[in-house]
Amino acid sequence: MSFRSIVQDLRDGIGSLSRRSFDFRLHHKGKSQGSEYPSSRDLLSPLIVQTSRWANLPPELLLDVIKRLEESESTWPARKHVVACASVCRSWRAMCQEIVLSPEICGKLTFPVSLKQPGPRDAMIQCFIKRDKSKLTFHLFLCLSPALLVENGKFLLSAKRTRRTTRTEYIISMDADNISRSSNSYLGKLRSNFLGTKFLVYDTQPPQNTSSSALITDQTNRSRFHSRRVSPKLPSGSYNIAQITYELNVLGTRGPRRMHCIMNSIPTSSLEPGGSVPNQPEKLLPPPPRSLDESFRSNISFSKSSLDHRSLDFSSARFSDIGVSCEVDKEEETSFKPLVLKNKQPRWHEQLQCWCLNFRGRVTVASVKNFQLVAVRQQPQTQGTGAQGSHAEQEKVILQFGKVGKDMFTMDYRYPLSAFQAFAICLSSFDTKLACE
Amino acid sequence: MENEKKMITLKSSDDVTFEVEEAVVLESQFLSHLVQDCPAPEHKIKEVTGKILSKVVEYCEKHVVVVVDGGDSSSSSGDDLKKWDDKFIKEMDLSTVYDLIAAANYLNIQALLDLMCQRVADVITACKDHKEIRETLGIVSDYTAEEEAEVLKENEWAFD
Repeated sequence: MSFRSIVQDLRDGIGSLSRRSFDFRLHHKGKSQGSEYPSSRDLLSPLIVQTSRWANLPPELLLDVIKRLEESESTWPARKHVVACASVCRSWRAMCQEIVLSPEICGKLTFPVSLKQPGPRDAMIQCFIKRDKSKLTFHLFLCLSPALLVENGKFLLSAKRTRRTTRTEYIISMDADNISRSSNSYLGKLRSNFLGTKFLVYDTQPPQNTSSSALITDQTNRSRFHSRRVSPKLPSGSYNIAQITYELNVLGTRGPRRMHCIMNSIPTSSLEPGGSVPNQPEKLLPPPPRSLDESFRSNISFSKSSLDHRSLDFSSARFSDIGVSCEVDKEEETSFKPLVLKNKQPRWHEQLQCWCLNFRGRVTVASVKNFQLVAVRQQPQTQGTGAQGSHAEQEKVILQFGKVGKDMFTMDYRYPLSAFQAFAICLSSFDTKLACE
Repeated sequence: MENEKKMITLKSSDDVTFEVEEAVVLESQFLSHLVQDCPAPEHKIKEVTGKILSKVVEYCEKHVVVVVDGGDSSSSSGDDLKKWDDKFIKEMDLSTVYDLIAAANYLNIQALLDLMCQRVADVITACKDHKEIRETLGIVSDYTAEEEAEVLKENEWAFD
């Protein structure tokens, strides 16, 4: 830890200490004045003792309180209280992280990290994208009601389009207003080739298959706090996690285009029964860049402080999931096969004289941008193992995107894609592709 | 039933005594075991102060009475009980809430524990952000500067 951060810590500590005692008094005065039995004795009781008491609430009681909160605040914007609760102090944070399940299991987005975790297995997360043509920005929101054209939603991600001489780039951020690569809200980017027919999605965090077996072993054996430090830290990591290609169809420039997405970070086995997406991120943002010396020292301080949190971290359901999937991963490490998605080919509707896809009411305006993605079925003859993926599973639409109004689009995604990956794929559909249209 | 009402004396850590009916004591799993196992006339509860024990007794007496009375008109007395509970917790400052949670946990009174935990959850929900929760409950941030920055980022996103 740098000297400055120690000073900062100290200052914060002192600041909140004095502020706390003051506010605590105020708060109690306000509460007790209106009540019938003002217990003035309590106001004089030692405040420092009270201080640590709530922070050190016995785990079973803290669990009870936070569980109630988590269950009652199940939808946005009320769900922000769960995030606030997880921000109070370390013991509360550990408890919240244990109670809040990943979106894959509970179907809810809670912490920003859930944007890079797979969506639910049994339902789709319904979102919408708002485009601002003048600012070249795109904002992804979580739908809070079944209505198609709504103005309110929970902000999830933002993107800004920049055109370079040879390519187009979309910067993806978790900050609604400040969308830039240099910001600490930068999550990744989408980059196109000159023609706009091929796109690469970059994540600031390394995908599963580029990590060595040493890294995987480390993740199973070490605590969470350690595992973050193990991955190689570049000043601004840029890891290619997906590739999207658009092809001309047999009809030439007329008719629907073909999309092909290779998801480098998701194994095709994730769609098989019992399959999972390995190496899901524990946190959304990589730690800020720093010198080797600093990171080394920070490691020491972390290992000390994480000791008492270790039991909590380890008992988390998600952690054990990761442990399991890592074992599976080791077996298949030599033959990692990325998940490949393709768009469902629309049918030609004779009466309407147009290409049609069933979006189940979620898309209302015909557009060349609309698409539905399904997994590409594995070919048994070329596949030695793992070809028994259930067909029903592979017929399911994993991501659908379509126009519902001027500058309004819906985006529905599910497991094994994350909101970040789904958003990046949708952004590629926005880009004008002379060769495809 | 009426004539054989058994009275039990509870003594707090600071030697405040409470004479209560056995039915009241039975609201607490811990005390009912204690009373069954050692039939002494007086039971000292070292872990709970007189101030908190008086609250516990007040709560248990109210709930016993309502349950006994509520034989024929259970729904209206249920509403009354809820109103009484609301008033009971609203009059309490957070320090008492904490002590009462600890006492309810120790004495194993599930209904009281539920009530108090819900009260804390409501207090947290009423706060506008994590800083207000800290201030309200007197918790100091124990994060490193780096973790604190991460927390802030998370909150900016959640409250956007």
